[in-house]
Amino acid sequence: MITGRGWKAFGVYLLVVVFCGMGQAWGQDVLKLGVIAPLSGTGAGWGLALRAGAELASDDTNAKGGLEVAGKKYKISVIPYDDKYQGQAAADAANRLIFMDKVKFIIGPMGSAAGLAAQEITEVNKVLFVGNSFTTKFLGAKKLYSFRTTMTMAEFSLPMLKYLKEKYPNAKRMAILGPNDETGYEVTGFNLKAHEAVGHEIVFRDYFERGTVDFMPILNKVFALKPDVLNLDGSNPGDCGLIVKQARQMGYKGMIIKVGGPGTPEMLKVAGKDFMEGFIYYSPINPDDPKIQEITKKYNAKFPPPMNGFTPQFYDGTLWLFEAIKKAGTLTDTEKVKAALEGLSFNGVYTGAMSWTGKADYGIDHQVKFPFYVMVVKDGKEVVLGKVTP
Amino acid sequence: MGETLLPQVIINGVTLGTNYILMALGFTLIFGVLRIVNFAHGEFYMLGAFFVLTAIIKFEVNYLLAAIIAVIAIGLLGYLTEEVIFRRFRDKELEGMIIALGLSILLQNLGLVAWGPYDLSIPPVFTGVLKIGTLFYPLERLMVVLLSFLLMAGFYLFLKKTKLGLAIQAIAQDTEIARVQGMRINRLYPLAFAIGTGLAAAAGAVIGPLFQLNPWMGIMPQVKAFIVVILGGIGSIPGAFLGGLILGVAESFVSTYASKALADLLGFILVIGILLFRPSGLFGRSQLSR
Repeated sequence: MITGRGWKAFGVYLLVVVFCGMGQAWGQDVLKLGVIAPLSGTGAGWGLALRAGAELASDDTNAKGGLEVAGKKYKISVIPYDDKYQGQAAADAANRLIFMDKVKFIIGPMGSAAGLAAQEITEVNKVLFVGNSFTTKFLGAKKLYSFRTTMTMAEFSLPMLKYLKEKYPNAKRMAILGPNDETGYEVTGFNLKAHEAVGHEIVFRDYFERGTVDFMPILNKVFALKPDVLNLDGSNPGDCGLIVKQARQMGYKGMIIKVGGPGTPEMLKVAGKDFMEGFIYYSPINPDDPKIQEITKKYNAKFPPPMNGFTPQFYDGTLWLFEAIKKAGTLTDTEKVKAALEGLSFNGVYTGAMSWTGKADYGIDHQVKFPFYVMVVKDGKEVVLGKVTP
Repeated sequence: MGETLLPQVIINGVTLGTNYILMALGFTLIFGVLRIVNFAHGEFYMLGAFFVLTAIIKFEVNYLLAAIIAVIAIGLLGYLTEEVIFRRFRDKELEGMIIALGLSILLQNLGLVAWGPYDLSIPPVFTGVLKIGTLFYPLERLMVVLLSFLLMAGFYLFLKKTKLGLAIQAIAQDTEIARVQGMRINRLYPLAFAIGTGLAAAAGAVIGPLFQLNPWMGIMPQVKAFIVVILGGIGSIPGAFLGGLILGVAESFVSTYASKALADLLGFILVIGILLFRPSGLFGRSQLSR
């Protein structure tokens, strides 16, 4: 039974809600941009990089007065949800964004399981999903509303390993160590094919649970097989840092490479510069580029450093989506925005010329392609070894 | 691979085992005395490691002093946690377990707010590698094993030789009789919890410099501690010791000679086997004194 005091409290609550709603209605019109990313747990480093990219792109657009769509300026409001790098949490986040927040555009997620789960909801509801999910299954001829604005192993594994084969022809015996999940299997699959295609011999491959801290037993086995190169595959930065540290402590003198997602600044924090010396890795950005230093400054002012290489990619991916919305001239008709995005090449602020590809590999041109860097750590600094165009 | 690999496998296994034992000691103590399956034990371990990191980086305290302060501070936090939260759930295993799960999530998220989501690391305390023939053994790991054995010996002597330790064993065996004998249960319970969380913090402080730090770093060690305790017998200190060594060495063997994924499964296979054939574990149940 609600008492008189209860009704009064309810009335005050109602007034506050209505007042807040009116505030929004009287203010600038808003474009809600959903973000689904791992903001906690082992994938948080990558997830926060994704959110930062989307937020910085939105901040910069808002600073120019908002996004102009059909002659009207819209302020962009980012609504982030944590998927914990898990499928169920990503599906929950997609449901909340679509049915409660009424969002039509979502940036994210990072993980393969999360991407596939959330996609079940976004595709049916014709919500544009611009993400990174590494699995090949994320894109397909029937997945009309999903786009990927970061490159995966399918795009950079073979070109990178070809480059390394030319530069280090004597490095022939490969050991691959990757995470024991959907992302890990996909990444290892591409790396295996690419290693074999360039003539490398695979002497070892195994998977470990993300979050493992003691790699010495498994490294023991790896080094008994005397590999020339240890490829850290799709392992996340913290795990990679520990593997590098423990491998060097065990006296391993061979090459350590990472043909997988970026995260060297985080690895340097864990392993230290001495153990990281000579580490070779894929990078979508050149940290010495003045433009990258500019976004790094913006990032450091708003988020805890270090900035991950994914942030500039998601920054550009988000702006690309904004351009498509602007071109389509609608915030609600996702069919039109999808068509506009498909027909739009984009000169990314940080990643350069970006275009769509993927028909041959995925059955749909919803995969981005741009030149990338092969980097090496020298005296604790990230140095460009070469630039590769896939 | 061959016999040259074997000594390295055993050394790695013993190192791994001592880490597990260190985690399991406090966990089994808290269960033995308070009948609480403390699922937040891993988070006290995390807090211990972060406390050391903060003391070194922000206050430029040396490692040993930072570790001692961390153990005392987290022990004190444990004392307050028992007084404020777990006091009402003494001897209520199910309710206590659920509260511990909630506390675990709360502490993880507090860790996230305080230290952020990125992996951090404690500056190396001991550097260098001991090389004997084909054997490689980083000095920092050797120090972890030595410090772990010191802590274990200290804890054992505390339980066996001090009045307080004997009192804690007494309440673990029979609370009512201990009460009748004049023991101050309301002081001993939080004290046992404080010692348990202090041990978790000690594990975090000792093992922390080896690995990376993040708010979720306690999850996996917590799972391992749980496996070790079931293996050795819930509430049994010698059981935790033996269980930790068995799990560490077995994981090292399986990782090296089979696969890492299988090694991660191994603990759970051992737990299922133990629960099927010897549900009380290797050293029975709640036998702190034996």
